[in-house]
Amino acid sequence: MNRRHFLKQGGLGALGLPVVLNGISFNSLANSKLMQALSAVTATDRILVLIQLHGGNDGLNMVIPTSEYSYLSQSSNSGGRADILIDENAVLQFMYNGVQQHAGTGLHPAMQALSNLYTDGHLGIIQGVGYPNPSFSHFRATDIVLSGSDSNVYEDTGWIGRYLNNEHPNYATTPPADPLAITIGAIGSNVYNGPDMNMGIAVQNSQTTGYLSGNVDIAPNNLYGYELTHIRNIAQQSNTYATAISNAYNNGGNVATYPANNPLAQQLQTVARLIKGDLGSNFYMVNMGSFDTHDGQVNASDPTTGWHANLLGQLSEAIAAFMTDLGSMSNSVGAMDERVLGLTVSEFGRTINANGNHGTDHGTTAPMLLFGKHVNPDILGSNPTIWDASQGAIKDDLDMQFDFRSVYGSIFHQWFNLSTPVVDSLLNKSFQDGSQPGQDIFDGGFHCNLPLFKSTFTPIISSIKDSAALSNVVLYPNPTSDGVIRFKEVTLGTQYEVAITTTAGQEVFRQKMAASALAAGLDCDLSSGSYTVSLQNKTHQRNFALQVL
Amino acid sequence: MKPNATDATSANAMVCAPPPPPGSGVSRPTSGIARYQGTWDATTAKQLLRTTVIGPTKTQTNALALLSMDAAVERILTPLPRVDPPICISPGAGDIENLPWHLSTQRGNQFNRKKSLQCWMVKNILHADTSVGENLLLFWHNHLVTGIDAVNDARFTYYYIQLLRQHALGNFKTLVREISTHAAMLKYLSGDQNKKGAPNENYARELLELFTLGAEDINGNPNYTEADVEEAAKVLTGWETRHQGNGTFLNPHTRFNANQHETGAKTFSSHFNNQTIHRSLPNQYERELDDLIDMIFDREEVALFLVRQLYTWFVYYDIDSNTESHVIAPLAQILRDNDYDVKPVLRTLFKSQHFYDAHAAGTVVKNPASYVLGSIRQFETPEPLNFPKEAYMVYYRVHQWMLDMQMELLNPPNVAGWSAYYQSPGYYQRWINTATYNARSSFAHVFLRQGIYSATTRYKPNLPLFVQSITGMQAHDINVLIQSAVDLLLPVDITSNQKQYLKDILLNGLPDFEWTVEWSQYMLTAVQASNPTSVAMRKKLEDFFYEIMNMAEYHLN
Repeated sequence: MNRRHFLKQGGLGALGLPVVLNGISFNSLANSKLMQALSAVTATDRILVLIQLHGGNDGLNMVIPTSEYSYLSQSSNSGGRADILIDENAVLQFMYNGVQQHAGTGLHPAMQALSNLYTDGHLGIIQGVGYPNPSFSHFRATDIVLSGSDSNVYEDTGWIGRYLNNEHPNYATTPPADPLAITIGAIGSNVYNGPDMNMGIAVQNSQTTGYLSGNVDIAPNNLYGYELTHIRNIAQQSNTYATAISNAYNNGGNVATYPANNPLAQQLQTVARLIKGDLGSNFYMVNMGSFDTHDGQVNASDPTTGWHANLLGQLSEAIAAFMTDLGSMSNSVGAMDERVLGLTVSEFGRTINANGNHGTDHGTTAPMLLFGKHVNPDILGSNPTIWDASQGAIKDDLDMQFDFRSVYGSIFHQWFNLSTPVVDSLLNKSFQDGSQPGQDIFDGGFHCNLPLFKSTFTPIISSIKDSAALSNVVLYPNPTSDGVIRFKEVTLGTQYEVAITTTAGQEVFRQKMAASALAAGLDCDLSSGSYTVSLQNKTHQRNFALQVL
Repeated sequence: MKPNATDATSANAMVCAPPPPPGSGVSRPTSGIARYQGTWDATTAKQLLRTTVIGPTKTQTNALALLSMDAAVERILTPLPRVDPPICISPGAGDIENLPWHLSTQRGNQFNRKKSLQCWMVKNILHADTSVGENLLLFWHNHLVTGIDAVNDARFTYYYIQLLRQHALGNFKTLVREISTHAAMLKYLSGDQNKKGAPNENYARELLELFTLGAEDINGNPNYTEADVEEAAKVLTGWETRHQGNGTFLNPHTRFNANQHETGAKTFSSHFNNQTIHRSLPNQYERELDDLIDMIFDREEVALFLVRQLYTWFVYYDIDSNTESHVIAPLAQILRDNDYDVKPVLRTLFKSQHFYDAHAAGTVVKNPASYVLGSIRQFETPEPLNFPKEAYMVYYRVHQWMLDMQMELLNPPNVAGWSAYYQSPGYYQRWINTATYNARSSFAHVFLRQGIYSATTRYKPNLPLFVQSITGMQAHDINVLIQSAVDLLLPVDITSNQKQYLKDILLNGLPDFEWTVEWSQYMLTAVQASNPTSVAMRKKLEDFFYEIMNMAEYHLN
């Protein structure tokens, strides 16, 4: 069965409604061969959490360049933003070991929690992220930042979708046991668009969303509502990954307290819970709206308050709670904050000039926030230039310091351990990786060696898994006459995957199972011959030769 | 051939719920067939259209809302038009590409002709006007089943469909008489093997059980005896097809062979007042069939049975005692009063208070024809180019999607038709299980985003044009756009939370005016089809309508 035909059959429920986490028990596909079928070995345990700030985030009001206040404080008639500018004394300083860092730059006063995260060494900032010939259309600019395309090219696939497709070319025909990527929300993010299909799964948190699938508004109590409810139930069961996700959600948990009335916090809480529950996804996308602050960005009476301040406060507190939660938990793979990297993206920044409605209009570049235990707690790049000396006036728009694809490329290269040529092909650019002499990361080109991570962080993920810890494990009976095999002396870890390949290298069996179940035996239904049996989890692997009579 | 539960849609029988039990608190319509007295407006016009016409467009809905209810219902009851015969798309023996084959003297390549005929069915539905005709054609096809694979001669199946088209809004009794000796039916239910001395009861049984009386009445009492089946089979002996092997095709396609007729009296049970059918003159033998039809159609059960089938098709599958006495029984009386003309029954039903009762809206799960072909129609999908051949290739792919959703035109799973219309529990719910739901979802994805493609065509809607059409050129107003889409595509209005959610797909929390800005930008760049900004807008609309097509509401009529 080829991939397109399979899709046509609707075999993979990825195209259906999102999974809703509300305790529905799923039984439809859980026991099918399909679900037990091949689970590709993920190249990495590392996780990227993307926070999309919809609407265009005003970077100047988030990472605030107080060094430029002589220009910014000019009236809006002169191209400045006096009427929305926050008092310099209210801006939060970057403190590390009790010493101010990056004088002349500060954080919005609503972002105390992020400021603390910086002090803890878990927050990094990349200044002036954008791309040449920027689009000022929300829709188009969103497509660009999610697809990773040039501004004059329409690209259907997403930058992560291309990676996933590379890693899992047989996703449609042999979907892995766990979803590859998750969007929290009703609709899968286009960032996961592969060449044939969206390779992510939408997960609705019943606390926040669920309107489309009727999770919040129950159906009317008549015959129409009766039929509607039936179809909604089927739709829920149709998602291939409903069981895997629900299991992870039910097995997971949270330690930290997340702020109330903060939709982003609720989404990140779900993410932490799924990670804790051992869901094998490497990518999570969460969403936050309402950054399109044309008016009422600040309260006229007090620019430290207002709409944008509320958003930044929520963003800050949500990230901080998430990091606290991750730092307090571990799962079968290890401490959770070791594995998670977070990044904010928005379709564009906003104008320098306030627009007279206590707001700002569509602009160009903005800073990106990077968070995680391994993040380089630094500000990459400099405060934006506000004054155009050649024109003797305040600039219209902010200049680009880093192409956004350099951030993506650096994450691919350093966090996901992809070689430079692979990064080149995924992002369709020629990346410099620092191995060439005389490289300047500030030259506006494409770099996958931006110093996003601490020097203590080892970007290279060992591809060789430890086998010594499994040296006592015995595979028996061997030879086997009925295709049933068992493992004994598995004393380490809780979850394993058993894969069996023929001597010709063809994989004939793959199944995830609990360590405790390995002793009970598994029926591999093999024909006579020689095989290699691989027993592995995310950190350990041992291979056995098997004879089937 | 007895109805059984072996077709694919019944595989998920376990997930089908029984109808809402009495006392469950689910409110049901209680009104009868008295004329609807409320306002005739866009809402009522929409309900009439959704349940009668497969995939009514915005234009059709608007036009119907402007008429009076009487005029609107008469429009709906327009007879089926004459249509061009199917053409050959992949020539087999004796067929010529792009030309009709129904008059061919060759049996031809059945696979290719079947394909052609299914494409023709698709084409006729896609091109249908504001009439219940094509939908009713599917009803009759489901009620008086023949299957093209078993008939094994596409010419017969073509004439079978033409017979159904001719009588779709005509007389039920006439149709049953005609179909009893139709070549397709003689082949399908072994009538051509029902001979003197060797009666084959197949057709006689289904005539009574599935086509006219039903096995039992409403109280569970049998409507006939086994002996009645045997006697009816004897009456039916002697009818033969004139189809001979792979060659000759004679017109008419059937004949009565008096030598193969079982002579003598056929006596029926007390269900038929112990009536005897017997014509003693050989040249009168064939009139025994007319006597049999008269005898059957004298029974009140026939009208009740057919009206229940019609009600199941158009309103709801579960008929409670209230509906039985206030809707079914009076409609059956109308059918009998009009000597089995179907039109007066439909006219009354479509003008009844019951039909427009709010509780009766959105109760019918779309069958795959309605989901696939209805979507193509409602989204005003531009015609495939290069008619006819390329169009037929596209129709073929369209039909393949219906097949994935467990509905193959001209080939119902068995003589009882699709289980969605007879199998308890669940009935229509059988159309949607985890596999077919995903097939529908995949169709929505391909249809809206990639287009259903053949060699040179990508058959997909032009969504920016479509939203301009359904909003009356107000697509720049996001609230108008969402409400227009909901009004056209979903059976009843949805909640404000749901609309907000649909808005979030388009705007992700942006203020409403940003939609107007983006739309204006689109209008400026739309002429440059490949302009990235223009593509971005089209993709937004694709995402939006994809989510609508996945809503549970979208699966209901």
